[in-house]
Amino acid sequence: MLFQFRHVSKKKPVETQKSSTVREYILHDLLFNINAHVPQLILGPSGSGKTTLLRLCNRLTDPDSGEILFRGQALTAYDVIELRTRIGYVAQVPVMLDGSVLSNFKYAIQKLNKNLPNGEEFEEECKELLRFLNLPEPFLYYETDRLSVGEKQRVALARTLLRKPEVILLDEPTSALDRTSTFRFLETINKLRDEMNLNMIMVTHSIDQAKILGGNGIVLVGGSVVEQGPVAEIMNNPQTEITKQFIEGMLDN
Amino acid sequence: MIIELSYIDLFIGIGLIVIAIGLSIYSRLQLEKDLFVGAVRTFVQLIAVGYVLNIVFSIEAWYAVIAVLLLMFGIAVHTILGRQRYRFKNMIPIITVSLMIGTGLTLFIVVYVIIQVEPWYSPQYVIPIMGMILGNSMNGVALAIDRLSSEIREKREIIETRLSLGATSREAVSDIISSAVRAAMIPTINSLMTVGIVSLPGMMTGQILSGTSPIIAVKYQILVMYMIAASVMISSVLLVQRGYKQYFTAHHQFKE
Repeated sequence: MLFQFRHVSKKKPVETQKSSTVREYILHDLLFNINAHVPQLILGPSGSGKTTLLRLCNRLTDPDSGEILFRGQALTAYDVIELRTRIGYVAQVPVMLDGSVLSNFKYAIQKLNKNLPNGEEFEEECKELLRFLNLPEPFLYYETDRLSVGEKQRVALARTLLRKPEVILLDEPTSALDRTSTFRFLETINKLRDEMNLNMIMVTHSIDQAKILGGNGIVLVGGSVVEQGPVAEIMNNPQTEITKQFIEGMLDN
Repeated sequence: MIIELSYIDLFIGIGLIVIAIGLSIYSRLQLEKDLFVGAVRTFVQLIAVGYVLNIVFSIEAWYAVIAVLLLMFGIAVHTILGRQRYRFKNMIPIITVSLMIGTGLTLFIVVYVIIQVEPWYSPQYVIPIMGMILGNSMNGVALAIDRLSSEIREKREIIETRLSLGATSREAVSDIISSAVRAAMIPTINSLMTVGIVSLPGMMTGQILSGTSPIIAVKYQILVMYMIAASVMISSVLLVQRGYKQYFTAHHQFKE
């Protein structure tokens, strides 16, 4: 078992009209398991808490109550830095560090080994990864501000993959891409899954993508899990009215 | 040797402010109200300080000097807080401790190791020197916190990206920490570069006006420049080292 969520709840402060803040549930009583070697999709309309759920997995944030286990052990029992080495995270909006693509890659790997990797060998490895992600090799020396959003998304993914994580958390990696780029990105994701045998947890609100990617899914609506199981089953035979509405696109604005 | 100013002389001096206010009205700059309030405040504050210092100097007691130092300190902390757009937890104790160590250490070295004043509380030395150290450190610290807080807020996504790539919270904000200290130090470094050429510092001018030889005055001024640099640096480094931690938990994640 990769992850076990045991009655996990998280609140976030919400401003009310009386200019006081109350804490409302963003995630409520989550109870589910995530298996290794099967892609896990987190589905749901915007604002349902998907991103927060993902951020819980690498401890960018912690739950207010409940417990998350990673490979049978409490997430809090791991050293955070080690945990983030084993669990890579690619945010929804790709954030590039200043400098070239290469310097972004170096940052990622430097934090891993605590020293700078051997020049040529490392650059070769980077180029190989760029090829794998359908990016031309010279990109390695580009300044990141020259890249398009789609290219940044790939570079962000590559930056995380270089660290050879066991699990990769992807937050709507195609949200900024057009149809063609999205399709190509999904192909890459599938290739990653098959060739690198990577455990993958991916957030998406797109039904089409979910169908392409398959695997297991949980449907999150308003911070609660309303349905879980194999994606194909959820799509073909939704058990709850709210899942049906989500699949029919009635929950997104 | 010293030509003393009478209140009548000062009254004539008001003419200078009147010229400035007149120009503001003539050019519709709407600065006349601020100029007026500022001029009155300058007059009242300085006259009050003059009399207070006069009393402190005449009673020559350690507790009077300590009381003045504490008052100056309180005002400095209050001023720093007033200039902040953002607040973080423990801001007041962090400012107080950083300033106290930075200015206290510098004051100690200047007054007791270098000048070696007797008695140790000698108000003629302790109060003006602390005033210069504290004033500059206050400005530096105010700039450092403002830079630190605003950049940590603005760069939240970059910081989280670094954290996700295995950086500790200290590593994830290292550029912000240096930028905050640099912001604090730039005015001081600029004055180290240009002092005597572009500007004649107030302390030195004051000494010369009151009849001290320019050679003695510049020696003091050199010491003043160095002590200000040391104090601003120590205070702002201590401040950012403690300050950034208020934004993170021990598990290298942002506090909510």
